[in-house]
Order: sequence, then structure tokens, then C-alpha cells
Amino acid sequence: MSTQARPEPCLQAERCMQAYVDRALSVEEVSTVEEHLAVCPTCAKCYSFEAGMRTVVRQACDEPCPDSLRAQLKKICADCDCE
Amino acid sequence: MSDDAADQLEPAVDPARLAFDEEALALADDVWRVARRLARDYQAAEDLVQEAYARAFRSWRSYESGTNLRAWLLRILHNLAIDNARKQKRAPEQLGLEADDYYLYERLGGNPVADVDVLVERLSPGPVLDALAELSLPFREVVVLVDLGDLSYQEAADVLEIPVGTVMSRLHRGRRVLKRALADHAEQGTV
Repeated sequence: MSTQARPEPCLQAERCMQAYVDRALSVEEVSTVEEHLAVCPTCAKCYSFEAGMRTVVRQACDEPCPDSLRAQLKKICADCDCE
Repeated sequence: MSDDAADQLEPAVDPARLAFDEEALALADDVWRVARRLARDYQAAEDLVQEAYARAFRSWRSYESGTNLRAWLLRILHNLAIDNARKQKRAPEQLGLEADDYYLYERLGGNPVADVDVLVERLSPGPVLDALAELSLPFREVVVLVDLGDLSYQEAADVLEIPVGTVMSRLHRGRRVLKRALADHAEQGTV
């Protein structure tokens, strides 16, 4: 569905999606969004996909600090003579 | 030698310093994850993290106990990354093409009866990392700090020393560029 073909409530929901998933909306804004999601399966699925995509990005970047670097950081810490 | 004499020979380590060291080292995974996405390669990320921790340990007294140490460390990391970027004197990067927020979902075949989990499974790590690496630094930094560093909009604004509105704008636009890039990968069958 192109942007032009979407009804205004869906366009509004799309504009709010990132902030909603970031939990950065006000209580009133969250309420408005959720009222729309309850009656619009398309937007509800888009929101669900957005959350899933964030998880994929996090998992793709989920790389633990190498043990050799961690050991080096401990050495830097031990050698630091600052008080 | 009495215990009192031993105490005099070995200076007591400040418990606040010990607590700082322990907490800072426990955040190494978080700092590394962000550094990997900011630095040009693996070695540069290692150098960046070492430099950031050396600076953090030297200036630990300027950290206000009880505030967000992750944000404090990431601010040091950001400053060093910016210094490195300036030294490289690279040409200004272009942001790339943006897409609407629903664009990627639709390009992957999303519809009211689609199985969202199946669509999400079509996103694989390689293209995600490529798309992130292609994002210009000012946008990549915000996406990385919020999505990987778990900072709030305000905390990211404090780290980057930019208004919170700029954080939101860069974050939202950066993610839209990622979606566009991933959709283009999908078109080529590589997502």
C-alpha cells in the first residue's frame, strides 16, 4: 500500500511508530495509537514488524567484548596510578 | 610487623574507585558493541575502547556516582570517535535514500494476514550490519547509542551534545535509511 493510499489514521500511526516502540510517547499518545492498532490489523502488524526488526538489529550486533581486550582493560585499570 | 604498621605501608584503595572500576569493566560488552559499529574495523574498535577506558580511569573522579555510567563511558567513546573521524578528513558522507516507516514491511510482502515472524526471519545479520556500516556517522551514532547502547533520547542528546529534537530526527531518518537499504537487499534476494 503506498503512502498516498493510506487513510489519515494509518498515516498518523506510521508517524508515531518509532517513538512508540522507543516508549517515548506520552500516555495520551500511547492511548491514541493503541486505539488505532486495536482496529487496524495492517498497522498492528507493521508495529509488530518494527519491534522484530529492532531485535534483529540488536542480535546482529550482539558481539561480546573479546577476552583479550577485556584483559587489556583490566591491565589499563590496574596500571592507572590516578587517585 | 603489627597490623597497624602494615596499614601504613600499603595505601588504602578508595572504595569509590574500586566500585567505579568494577562497574566500568562490567560495561565492557556494551561499550564494545557500540565501538564496533562506530570504528572503521575491528582493530580500530579495540584501540577506541582501550583509549576510552584509559581516559575513563584517569578522569573517574569527574563521574558523578549514581548517574548513568554507560552514558558517561559512551560519551568518552563518542568524543574519541569524532576526533578520529576528523583526523581521517574523510569527505562528508551522504545520508542515503530514506523510506517510509512501513516501507520495508510492505516490500517484504507484509499484508493484513501475513505472519510477521516469517517476515522478520527474512532479515539476516550480514545485510543488517552492511546497511548500518553504510549509514553516515552522525546518523549511525544516534541509531547505535539508542538501539545498541540502550540510551534514552535525552541521554543520547547529552552524549552527543545536540538537542533532543535533533536526536529524534537523526534516529528516525537513520532507521528509515536502514529500512530502505534492507529493502533493496531484499530486492536482490540477499536479505
